[in-house]
Amino acid sequence: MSKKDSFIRYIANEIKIHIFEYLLLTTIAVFFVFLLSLFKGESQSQFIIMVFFAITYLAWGIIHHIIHHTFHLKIVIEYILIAALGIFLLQILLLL
Amino acid sequence: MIYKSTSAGFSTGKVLGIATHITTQELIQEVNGERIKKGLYPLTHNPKLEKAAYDKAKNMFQYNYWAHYGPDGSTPWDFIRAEGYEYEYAGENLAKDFMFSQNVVDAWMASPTHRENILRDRYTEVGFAVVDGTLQGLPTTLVVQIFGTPFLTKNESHTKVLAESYTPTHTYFGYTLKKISFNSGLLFLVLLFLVLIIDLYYAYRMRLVRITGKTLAHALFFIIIMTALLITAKGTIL
Repeated sequence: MSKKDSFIRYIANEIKIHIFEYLLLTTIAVFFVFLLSLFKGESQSQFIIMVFFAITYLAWGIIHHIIHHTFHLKIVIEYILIAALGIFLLQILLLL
Repeated sequence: MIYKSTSAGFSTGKVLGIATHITTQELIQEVNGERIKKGLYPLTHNPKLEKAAYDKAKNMFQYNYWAHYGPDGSTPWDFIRAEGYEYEYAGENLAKDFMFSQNVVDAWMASPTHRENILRDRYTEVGFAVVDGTLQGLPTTLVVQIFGTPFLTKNESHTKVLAESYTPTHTYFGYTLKKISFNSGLLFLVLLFLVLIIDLYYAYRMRLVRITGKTLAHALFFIIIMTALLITAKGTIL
């Protein structure tokens, strides 16, 4: 088995172990994309949806790490930064 | 929407969509590019049709509607006639919420009725208006495209197009600063995604034990942001 194959297996295994959490995140993401397309052209509503999605993502991360006893302040900051970067990029690019 | 002055029939179709960087020059080049691909005459710019398109856009903002027909019963043909343009054939395409000129034309080309308007060989002239305003409480950029064929001067007009108006050389390269910024933003997101995947790969290979968040979840988050960006950058079709 090549290193690439075993990496893919590692990712598949990671998803399998946390299937419920990843399914929940994917469902939230699909719902977010659906809401964005539903409010197409309404930039204010879209911004609120983006902020809600980022907060939900942050909450998902915190709950996930609490459940798996890996919760740490550094992790919270990481999720906050990732979520903020996502909103920042999306909003800045759309306001260009 | 098309209308032939000598017949009672007409058909409807509209692309309704936020334009942040759309110019009439780019629109006409894109539309003519599509016509040339199909072996049709390029359309010539007509100031009267352009004024009619501008008045139509202003009217939509003034009466707060998004349709071919106004709430007061006004039709696109009223705006054309008001400019003293006597037409044999006329048509109208509308768009809003698009970011780039190319996206507007792509959306029109993807809609059979709008495509039909753009590729209608009977049309010889066109006028565009790109107007900013507030529609239904939201900042909007409307794009109005009005086609026309002057009454009784169709052949003359065609000859004129062939003889004088069309320059096959494109001076527009399709890349504006805004478009470059948008594409660089997308590229940055893709790079972030790749960095996360590479990080995950090396962490796995080196069997690192780290106090970090879920890289896979971050990657998924950026995929969603990219998808959202592509969705929101695209206008709507009504």
